[in-house]
Amino acid sequence: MDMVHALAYPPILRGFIALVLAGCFFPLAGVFILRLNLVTLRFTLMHAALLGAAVGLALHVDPLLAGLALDLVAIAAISRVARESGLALGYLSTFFMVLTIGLAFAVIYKAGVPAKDAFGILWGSIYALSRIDLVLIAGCSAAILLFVTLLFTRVSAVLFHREIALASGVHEAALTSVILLFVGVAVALLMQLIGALLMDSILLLPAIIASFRARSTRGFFVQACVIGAFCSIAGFFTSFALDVPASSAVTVIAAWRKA
Amino acid sequence: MACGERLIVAGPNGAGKTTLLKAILGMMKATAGRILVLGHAVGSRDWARGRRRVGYVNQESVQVDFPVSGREVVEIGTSTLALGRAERKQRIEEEMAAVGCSHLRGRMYARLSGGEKQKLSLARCLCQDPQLLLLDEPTSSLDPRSRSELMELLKNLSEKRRITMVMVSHDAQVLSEPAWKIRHIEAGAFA
Repeated sequence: MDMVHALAYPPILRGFIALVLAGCFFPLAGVFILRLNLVTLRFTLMHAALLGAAVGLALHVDPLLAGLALDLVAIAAISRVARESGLALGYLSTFFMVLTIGLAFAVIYKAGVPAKDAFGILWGSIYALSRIDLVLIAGCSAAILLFVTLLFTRVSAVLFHREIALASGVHEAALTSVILLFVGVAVALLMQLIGALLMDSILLLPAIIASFRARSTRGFFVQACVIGAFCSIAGFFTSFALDVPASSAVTVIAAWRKA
Repeated sequence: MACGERLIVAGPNGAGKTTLLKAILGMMKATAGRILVLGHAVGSRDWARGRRRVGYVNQESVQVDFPVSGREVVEIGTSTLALGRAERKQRIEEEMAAVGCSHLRGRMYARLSGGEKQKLSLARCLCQDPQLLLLDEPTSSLDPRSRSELMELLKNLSEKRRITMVMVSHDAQVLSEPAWKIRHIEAGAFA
């Protein structure tokens, strides 16, 4: 099947558009993860999304939306406890990571949810996206882009140093909550798009590569987006050419660029 | 304190010097009493307006392991100002020139010396057009020459712009500065 004909099929076109959008803009969330040291939080969100998928399947609700909802609940809980207790996000993330995976297994067992279906969210599939999924990815891409461009100085203050941001009159707590929200939504959507195991090829690898090359925060954001876009588009076409899964192709190309 | 006055708060480690600055900034709540800064009570509803005119140079040169340029560090000082793009750019350039760090504009922050980082911090604060500048041991990581340069710069800025300055320090050379008043603090109280 040639490329033009393949893109005429709505599921493939939807997958391509979603991959390009995510590749272009979700690395912005990767920059947040790297700078604010949220790598553990990312795992917590993956587990929370798995719990959400299990609950969704048990209640016959869209697993993606249920996973997204559970990610938002986890983000709200973690940021509130962090603010009130002063504990580091890393510690709290580890606690919630263990809690959510424990609850996920309990729900899977008690509700008789087929484990294969619940764990399906770990693999993802770009060709199984619904229109709602695509709208959510487009909405999240637009929101995160607007957030970074319109509030660049404030966002870079928060990324630079918490106390300096506060002393400069920036609402650091509110901005950090919005940043965590974007990370949570990006993780949930990427799980549906390319799966939990390969999401870092879009989320983190472009940001890591950009951190080696960039000389400014603006450059960091822009380069992460450009590298993410290149990897996702090249990965998509490579997957066609070599007849391999798109998620694998994107990951290998991103890793190759890093090397 | 009177407008344009310069005060050094001296004391041993753990005496409460940094706590005092953080309480003035509203980062820590005072356990008793009320702090009035530029006519606004810290933590009150209108405090946000007052806080914009308070600059803060923090204790250590910030350790940053991600790409940020000198200009972007100074730009942070304009975060909450309602300025157009051209006006913002002009403000940043002017304040970098005022502290003599225009050449650091495109340099990566992580690769700068302690003295260069402190100059950028100062330029960042000046962008806020501060009436009060709080400095938390700004000379602690500087060599004697950079220390003298920074103290001279602070004195000139204070005199030219009538900026009130409060510096906490236990640096013996800084404590011998004749242009600053000195108060000692010990176990959370002024001696």
